[in-house]
Amino acid sequence: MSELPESELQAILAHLPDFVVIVDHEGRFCWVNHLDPTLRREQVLGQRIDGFNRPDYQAVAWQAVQRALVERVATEYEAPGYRDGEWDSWYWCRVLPFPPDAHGRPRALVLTRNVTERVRAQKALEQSEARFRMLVESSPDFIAILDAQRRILYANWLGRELAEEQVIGQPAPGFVDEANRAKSVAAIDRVLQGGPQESYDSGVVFNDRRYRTRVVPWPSEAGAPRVLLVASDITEEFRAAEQRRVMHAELDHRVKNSMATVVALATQTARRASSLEGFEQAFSGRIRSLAETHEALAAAGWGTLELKDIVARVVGPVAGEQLDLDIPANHRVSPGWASPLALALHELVTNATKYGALSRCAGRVRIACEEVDGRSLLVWTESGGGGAGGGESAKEGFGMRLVRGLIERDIGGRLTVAQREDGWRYEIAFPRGKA
Amino acid sequence: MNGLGGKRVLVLEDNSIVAMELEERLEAMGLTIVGSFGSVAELEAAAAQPVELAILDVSVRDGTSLELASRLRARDVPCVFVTGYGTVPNLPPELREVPVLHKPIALRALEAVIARLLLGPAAG
Repeated sequence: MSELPESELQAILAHLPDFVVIVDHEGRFCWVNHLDPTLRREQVLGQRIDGFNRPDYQAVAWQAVQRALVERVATEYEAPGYRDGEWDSWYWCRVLPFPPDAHGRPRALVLTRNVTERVRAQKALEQSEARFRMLVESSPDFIAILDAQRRILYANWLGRELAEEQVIGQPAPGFVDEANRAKSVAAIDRVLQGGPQESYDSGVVFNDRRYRTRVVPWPSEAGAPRVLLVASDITEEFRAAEQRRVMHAELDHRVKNSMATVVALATQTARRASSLEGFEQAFSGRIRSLAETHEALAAAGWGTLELKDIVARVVGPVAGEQLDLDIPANHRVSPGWASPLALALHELVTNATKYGALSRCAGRVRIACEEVDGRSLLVWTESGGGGAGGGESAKEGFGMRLVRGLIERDIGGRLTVAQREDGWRYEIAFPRGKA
Repeated sequence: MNGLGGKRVLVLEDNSIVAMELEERLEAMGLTIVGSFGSVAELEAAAAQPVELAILDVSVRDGTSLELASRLRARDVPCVFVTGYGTVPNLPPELREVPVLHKPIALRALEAVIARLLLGPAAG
C-alpha cells in the first residue's frame, strides 16, 4: 500500500460504497472519497467532524478523533446520521490513525458505513422481545425455565413472599410442599430425559394456595436439556372439591347417625308398647318430628333454625288454640341440636295430651323463652289441668327419660321439671346457636 | 350366666336414644353400667374408678375420645370404638388394635366383640 502514491489511493477509495474521510490535525475534514448527493464539497471540507453528528453523539465522535490523532489508537462507534432533515439513519464509524501530512502533522482516517437496516431490525427485535416479555411477565400463571439440575434460570414473576435472589438459581422442587415434592422431581426429570409434557398438582411452601403445574420440554442450550414450568393457581377449584368431599363425609355421617337413632327408637318404643297400634302411633309420631326438622334444616341449608319456628312446627298443630307462644326472634338453634330439641318438644306435647293440660278443654300451654347467661331458657308452663293424676307417668315414664336424655346428653343442656298445683312446668336451658 | 356377669362398663355416647338402647343391651348381657355420659369431660371424671370395659363413641359434642382411650388402654382397660364415620382418623399406634363398631351397631357384632375382649379369643 505504501508503494502506491496517495493520488492513486484516493482514486481507489472514491469507488468504495462506504464514506471514507481524512481529517487533519485539528479534526477538520480535509478529504472525502465521495459525497452524499444533498451536500456540496465546500459545505464539508474544512468543517469539524463533530459538526456532522447529532448533539448527543458529538462528544463520542470528537473523542474518537482525538484518540486517533494524539494517542494513535483506533476507535469504533455507532451514531445517528443526518438525512433529509432527519436523524433517522445510523452509521458505523471506525476512526484510526493516518500517516502525517507533508508538514508532519497527525491525521486520522474515518471509515463510515450505513447500518440503518441492521439497527432498525435490531430495534424491532428488541421491541418484540420486550412485548413478549411483558406478556409473559403479566401472566397470572407462574412461568419458569429450569436447567438440567432443576434450578430456576428464569421466572416471570416472584410472589410477594419471595425475592429474586431466593428464587433464581434455586432448585424448583424446593418450593413444592413436602407431600408433593418427590412427585414434582419425578415429573421434571422424566421431561428432562426426553419424555412428553407432564402435569402435577401441589401446594407450595410460601403460601396456602394450590397450583397445577405443567412441565414442558424447552429448547436446550448447548446440549443441556431444559424444561418450562407453567403453574396455574387452582386454589378455588381445589377448595370446591375439598368442600364436596367434606360434605359427602358429613352426609354419610348424618345418615348413619339417623339410622342408628331410628333403629334404637324403634326398639325402645316397641319394648314399651302394649299393642301394635300403640307402637305405630308412638313410633310414627316420633319419626315425623325428626323428619319435619330434617326438612326445615335442609331448607335452611343446614344453618341454624329459629327456636320459635321449631316450637310452632312441633307443638302448634297438636296444641292448636290452647297454645300461647311467646318466643322472641333470634333465639337460634344449632343445626346439630334441632332434631333432639324437636323430638323432646314432641314428647312434651304428647305427654300434655295424654296426662297434662291438653288432656282437658280448659287447659293451656304457655311456651316462653328468654336469654339467661348467654343461654336460651325455654319455659313450658301448663295450666288448667293435669296437676294431679298421671303425674307419675309424666315424671318417671319413658317419654320423660327420653326428654331428659335429649336435652342433657344430646344438647348438653339442662332440664328442670316441676309439678305445680295447676299443672306441669318444664325449664329447658341450652346454649344459643350462632346465626 | 355367661361369664360377663357384674363386669363394670363405661359408656360414652352423645345420642341419648342410641345410649339408652346400648345400655339395655349391655345390661341384658349381664354387665354393670357404672357410668354413661354424653361428653368426654363427664366421662373423664368417672374413668378413675375400676372398670373392665369402655364403649366409646369416637366423636362426641366436646371432642374425640382418642386421648381418653389411650389412657384407659395404658391401664389395660379393653375399649370398643363406636363411630358414625366411615373410618377413625388419626388413630395413634396404641389404639390400632381397638375394635371399631359402625353405627347402627349390630347386636351380634357388639356381643361378639365384648365376649372376645372380656373372655378371651376362644369366646369370640
